[in-house]
Amino acid sequence: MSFYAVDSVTFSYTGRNDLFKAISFSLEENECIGIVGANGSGKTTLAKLMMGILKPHNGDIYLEGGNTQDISLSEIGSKVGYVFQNPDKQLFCPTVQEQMEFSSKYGGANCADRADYYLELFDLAKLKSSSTLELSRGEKQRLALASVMSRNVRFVIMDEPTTGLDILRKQQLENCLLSLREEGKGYMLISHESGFMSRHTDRVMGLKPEGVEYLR
Amino acid sequence: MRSLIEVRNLSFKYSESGPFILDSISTNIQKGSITAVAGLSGCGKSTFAFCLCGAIPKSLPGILEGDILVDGSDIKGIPLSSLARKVGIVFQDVDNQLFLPTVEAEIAFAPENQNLHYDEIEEIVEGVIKTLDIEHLRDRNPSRLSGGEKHLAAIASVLSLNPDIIILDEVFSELDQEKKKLMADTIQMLKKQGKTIIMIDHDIENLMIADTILLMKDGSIEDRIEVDEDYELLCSRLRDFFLYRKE
Amino acid sequence: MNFDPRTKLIMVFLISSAAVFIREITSLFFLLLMTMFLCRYFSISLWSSIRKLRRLWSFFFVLAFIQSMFTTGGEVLVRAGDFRILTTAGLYSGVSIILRMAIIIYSALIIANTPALDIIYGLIAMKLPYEIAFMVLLAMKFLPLFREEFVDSITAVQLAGVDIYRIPVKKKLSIYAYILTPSVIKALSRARYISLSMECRGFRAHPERTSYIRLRMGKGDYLGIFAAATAIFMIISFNF
Repeated sequence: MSFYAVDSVTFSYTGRNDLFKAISFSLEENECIGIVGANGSGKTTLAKLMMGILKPHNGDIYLEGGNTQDISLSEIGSKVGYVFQNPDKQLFCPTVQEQMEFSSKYGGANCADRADYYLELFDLAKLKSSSTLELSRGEKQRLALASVMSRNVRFVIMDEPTTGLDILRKQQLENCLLSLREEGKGYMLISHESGFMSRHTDRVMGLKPEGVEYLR
Repeated sequence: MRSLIEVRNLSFKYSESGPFILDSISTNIQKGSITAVAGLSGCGKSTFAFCLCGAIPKSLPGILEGDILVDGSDIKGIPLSSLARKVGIVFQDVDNQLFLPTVEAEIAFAPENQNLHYDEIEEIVEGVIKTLDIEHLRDRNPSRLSGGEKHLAAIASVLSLNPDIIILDEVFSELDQEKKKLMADTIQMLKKQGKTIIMIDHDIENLMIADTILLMKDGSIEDRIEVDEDYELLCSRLRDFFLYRKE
Repeated sequence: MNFDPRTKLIMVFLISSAAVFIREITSLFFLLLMTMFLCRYFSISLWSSIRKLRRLWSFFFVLAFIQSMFTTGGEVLVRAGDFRILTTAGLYSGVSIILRMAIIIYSALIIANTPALDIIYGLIAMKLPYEIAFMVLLAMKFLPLFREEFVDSITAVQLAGVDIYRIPVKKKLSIYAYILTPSVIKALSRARYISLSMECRGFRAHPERTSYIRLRMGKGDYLGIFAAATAIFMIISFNF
């Protein structure tokens, strides 16, 4: 049984034109996969479908054998970490520190000790008591990454995680991806940066209206 | 070439007791050039952009010292909506920029404000749609577009304003390769039309279309690079700036 | 035919003012029929709108019920011991409340089903200053903005592994309190940036402003307004 199984999924926002037709593929827990496609081809939509935020019109998505439509968002979220394309959508706590501690405080996740490590890793330690709303775009992106990584999930879906990151921070993210791999965790990477993509994925899928195809 | 924008001793902080976000910046920007502002995230690039278009302190509060002169006149005395004819800005967060129900309405918004004739507006709208190749987005609701498409819509809505100076705050970041190329070509074309472009970015590849690169660090401009040197040399110089700042 | 947004605004204005002034149940009933006919004409599904506004309807029914209990006069219909629970006058006022609300809701649906921009340009064409018309547009946008921020936050909370539907009430409330402030601030800050974006694109630089959406009142529009006015007049005089 695959970790993720996407079974002939179609989706449309308007109810008329399908964004893509009958997509099927499967992912293993320790697999590192990349998704590419033109602007508006549905990469973010696919990620949201896999996280259960959106429901497919046709077809099903299975996470460890269970249909994502029957699993609560929180259960999916406790297995799979999701880094939103827009970090504003991800950050909901008043301060950086509270954002990092939220899951352990309310969800019983054991991440308090890892929180400091990831704040340090992403250069956020000195901003601990800052308001999340006052951060720059790049800092928000790093906080979103740090809060997901600290939760010790088994698989991570990242939607354009390099947006807003400068070379230095990109390198920090690259180290982070390498350590995920070392821990035997997989991830799905959505990105336009081909170099970044090729260094950190085992295979790459292209998303087109007629479906997916393996590019590598 | 003469300098179109002159920045003198510009400092900014959000509150009296807060740290300086911008720290005595002095620089000038040549007319008809592409100037890039680069630096690590959080170094004050976007704040600098908001100062250049007058949004700080007119609309976003804070304590600003120093002067910005556009075409010789201090922008302090010019109302934001009049300054718009000179300086247009594409926000980094486009969700904050677009508010109308269709992309076409967004593009028409600026020329409508200038009280142009209907036929002129139509011509401008068609021109912008063609330049950016976004016919397919015309009737779509901006809030339902993908990240990259939203950026294109936001750029279109500023191009129709036809300002002399265009500030682009990380417009490349969510575009795919094809659209990135289109964007770079569009910027070059705008330069040929005599526009002055200020682009904020930290991707070395994107920075290469600039004539001048201003390197920012902790709220001040560390270095100014005129892009005429060898490509490889420039790349390694930029990489050094980004990566080895900690020592 | 496609009516000018102004025509719709005038029709809705006529209907809703008539709904407020008319006292007779039969007239109200015919006015409701006319409003429903107009809704059908503008292809608004009557049933789905009833279903969507379920909670509102039940609120009106409770309101009508209370109103009819407290209005006395006429013959007593239901009595409990010495108490008059329902009288003809009470029933009368209860039914007219329901009818009136139905008319106002259905006529509002005609506006709600017209693109927001058409309404705004319609208002501007009716000589409302454009600054105020756009303020209306932004005000109409704020609640959905706030709702969007809040819903996004709830989604993010769940994806952070917290099952908001299963945790104890006390914790749940504390989470809501937690995310409420940032959601309000985020919505406010977006509204502020949107008004900045408008100014940065020259809004209010000129006293006059062109409309890219061209509105034209045709023969059909005047005919439509005339027909609606006549129908309302007939409905009112029907009972005299």
